[in-house]
Amino acid sequence: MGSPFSPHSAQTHLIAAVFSVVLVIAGVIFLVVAAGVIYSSVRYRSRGVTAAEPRQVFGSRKLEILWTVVPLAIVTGLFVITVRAMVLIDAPQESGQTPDLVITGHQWWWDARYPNGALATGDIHIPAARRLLVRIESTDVIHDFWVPELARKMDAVPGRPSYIWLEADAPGTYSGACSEFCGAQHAWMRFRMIAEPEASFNAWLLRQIQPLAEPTGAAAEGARLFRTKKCEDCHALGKKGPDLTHVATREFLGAGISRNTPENLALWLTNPQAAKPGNRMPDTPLTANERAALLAYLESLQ
Amino acid sequence: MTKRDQLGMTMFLIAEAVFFFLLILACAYFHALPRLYAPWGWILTALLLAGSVSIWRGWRWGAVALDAVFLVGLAGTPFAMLTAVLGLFVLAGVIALAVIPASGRRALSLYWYFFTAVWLVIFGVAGQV
Amino acid sequence: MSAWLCAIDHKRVGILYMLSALLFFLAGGMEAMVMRAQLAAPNLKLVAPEVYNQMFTMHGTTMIFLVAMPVLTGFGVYLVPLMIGANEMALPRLGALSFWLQLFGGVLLYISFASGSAPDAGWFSYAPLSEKPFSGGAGLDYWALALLLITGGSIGSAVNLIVTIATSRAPGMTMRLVPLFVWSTFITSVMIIFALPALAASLVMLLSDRLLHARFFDPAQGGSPLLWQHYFWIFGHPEVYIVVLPAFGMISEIIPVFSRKTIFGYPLMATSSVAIAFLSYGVWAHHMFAVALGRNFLAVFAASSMLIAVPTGMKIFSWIATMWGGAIRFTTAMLFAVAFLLEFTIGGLSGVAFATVPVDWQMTDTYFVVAHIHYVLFGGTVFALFAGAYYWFPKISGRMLDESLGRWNFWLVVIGFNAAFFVQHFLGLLGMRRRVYTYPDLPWFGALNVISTIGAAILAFGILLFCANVLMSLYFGAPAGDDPWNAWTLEWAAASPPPLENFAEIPRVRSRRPLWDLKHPEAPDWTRA
Repeated sequence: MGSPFSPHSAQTHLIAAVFSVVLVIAGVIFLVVAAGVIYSSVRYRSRGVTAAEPRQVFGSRKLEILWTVVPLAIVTGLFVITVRAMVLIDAPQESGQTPDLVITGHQWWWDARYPNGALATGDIHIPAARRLLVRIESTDVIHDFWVPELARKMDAVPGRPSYIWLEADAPGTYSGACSEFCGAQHAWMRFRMIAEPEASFNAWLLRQIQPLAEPTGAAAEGARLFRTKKCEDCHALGKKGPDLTHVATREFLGAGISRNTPENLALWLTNPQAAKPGNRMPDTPLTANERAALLAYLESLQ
Repeated sequence: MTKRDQLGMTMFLIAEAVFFFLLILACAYFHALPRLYAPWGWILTALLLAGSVSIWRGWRWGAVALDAVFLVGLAGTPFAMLTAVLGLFVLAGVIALAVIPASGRRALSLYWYFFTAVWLVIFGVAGQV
Repeated sequence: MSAWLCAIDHKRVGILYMLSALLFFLAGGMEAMVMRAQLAAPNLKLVAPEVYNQMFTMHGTTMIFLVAMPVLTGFGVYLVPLMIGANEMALPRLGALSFWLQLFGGVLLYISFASGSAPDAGWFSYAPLSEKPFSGGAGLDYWALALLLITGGSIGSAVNLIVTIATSRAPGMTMRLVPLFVWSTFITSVMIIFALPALAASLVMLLSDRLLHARFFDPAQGGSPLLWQHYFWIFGHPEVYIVVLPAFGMISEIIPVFSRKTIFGYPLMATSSVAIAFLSYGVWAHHMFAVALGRNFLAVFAASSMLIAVPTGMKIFSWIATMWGGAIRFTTAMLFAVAFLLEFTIGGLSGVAFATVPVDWQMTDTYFVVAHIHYVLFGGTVFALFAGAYYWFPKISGRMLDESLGRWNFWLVVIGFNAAFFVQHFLGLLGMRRRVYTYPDLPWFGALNVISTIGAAILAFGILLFCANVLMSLYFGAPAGDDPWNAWTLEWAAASPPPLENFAEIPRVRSRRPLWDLKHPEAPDWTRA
């Protein structure tokens, strides 16, 4: 997971700067308080039993004004910084502009739709060094889209889409995750943003909408089983499960819970609840041959 | 003693006022307000008002009877969460009035006036059919 | 036994509140230890995801509703009549009823474990996750019903405290002369009257959705999941101050006595509490900064949330000024009170960070929040409660808590607490999200989490030591006498423990420190201003 203090976009740079200011102010205030507490604890510690009480001080108008006005000035300054930063970081919510990307949270994975019809699940590609307007949606409960290095977090509220600026100033892989508790597998609702140079991004984008080669051999049998065993009833865009069109290209399975190896993929076919407890995939009885065929088919989906 | 009871009741009713304000607001926002058939709404309102007058005049059993009839009538209206919650409070008031000794009735009368007022608000915003 | 079951005396009811809170504190602590064990290393599988989710839901709900609120109510019910020179609460039967409602609510919440489906949607149970399609079991129904009972009990005890403080004060004790603990309890009770009904309304709507097919929070049927958030936090943020203000009140009693100086700036202390109470109703949306609610709307809530730091800061500086120039005695109670000043300041300052909206846009729902709330509620409220326990236990039991055990208790709690929670700031900064049952093996995650878990274990040990101290001191503690701390408020004029009728003769009050006036006839407070 990236840190808010390793920013890779104009927006997150600004947040890191604001955060630094806040931390410095907070640190100074804490030191002042700690100095006062420690000094009076040491200096005014009672030594021995003296019957006489110390001088009783009931208050001081001057001091009280001081510690009303100084904090007030500090928070006023912070407020100005806050509002100025908000304006620069926040995307317009009702611009009418077509988003460059629509990212949707599901229990428990993410996918992204591109204007050309391409669909990415889990690994979301973006062009580097370009500011994108991203629409955040949810199909079930409230999720929260968070890539600490690239953008502010934004709740994905069902029935109420929202918009953010998303930008990566350099090519690279940035990890993200759901940041609003959303049920049993909130822990494994991770994803990766893969920022690429414009040219390779465009090539990737085109590849996503080109039809795959017809499967052959065991994979062809697997493709048939994918239909007859009703896998495709869920595993398609707009359905209950993640789309599997390019599943073999993914680094991880189950939104980060395991690496995409044949053994881990096989576990999803034999015992999905063992692969990711609580997920919505039911057990489907399969013979060993069927499993092997389906596996061959899925491994062919580049 | 009665001063304390009344102050306590007033505090409790302030809490209830916040509660009903937020509930009615949400119901209004989502068009989930109760629907009352034309004559019934007025008859129920009259019963509650008469109940409040009764307790004001000190006619304990008259008030109990009037509000009991109100509850029966309310049960006959289409079910709505708001009127159901109000009905529970009125029921509690009827039971309390029937069992509480005279010393507690000054405070209890505030409770009755309050829920009559809540009913008037609900009746005012409810859909008339 | 039946003397306790039927008790309406404020001292017995108060003790019942405190004891039930202590039991639930141990339950909530065990839930926390399950979580810390599961998080001790990456990718552990000690408990199933659903079990982990039940643990943090029950932990949060327990600590807020079954520990913090009842124990503070318990101290209030026990101490307020004594401090204002009254012999009982104004409405004693209501007091007993409120306690039992509260306790039955707690028991109902825990019965959900036996039903096989404890609530697991978090202590603020956001819709639509808390709705039937996503949480099908009965857990959330138990949760909502239990909280409705607890709401009723809390409102009842708040009404009782308000009426008592308004009508039962000793002759001469105007509202300008009541001890600050009484002031903060009064303000807290008024806040409960205005805040808890919002929770009740939310719960009634949630239950309507779940059981009666209503559609308040279901976007698929025209409802709004954000309505739940607004209503819940209209309750939820005042709630934070409801469980912090009485703790402030305790600190305002304890620091002066052990510094041998009167509280610095009493009027400002009282008015800053009122300011906090007012402002706390205008800050709820800072829990929703990550929702797209519109920039201007968020800016207003940023302003109010930052503003609330000002009256809080005044209090911190006034406490330091009280210590300044004093003759400080470091009893265990004072140690906890001084530690409170530092720990709570950390929690307050990270709170200001969250009011800074862009920071919140990164840090909300991470371990930075977990650290923040624990510095406020543990470093603040619980440290103050420990201070209060060491301070008032002699009055309640007639015996002193053991001071050398007390030092062990103090240092274990301080070390354990900071080890457990300070590192969580860093975990948040590294991107660890809250409410995850496990995490991948990322740089530093394992190391920081194991430190946190070890800290939690030390903390748990410190708390058990406190329980042992209480049990032992009840039987073997040194007799306390009426006024072991040479204190100034009226409760120390009563016997320890106070008899059924607190005061044989109701004292006449002329200043904020009636016992100072008695002990210093040469310079009584009432001659000063």
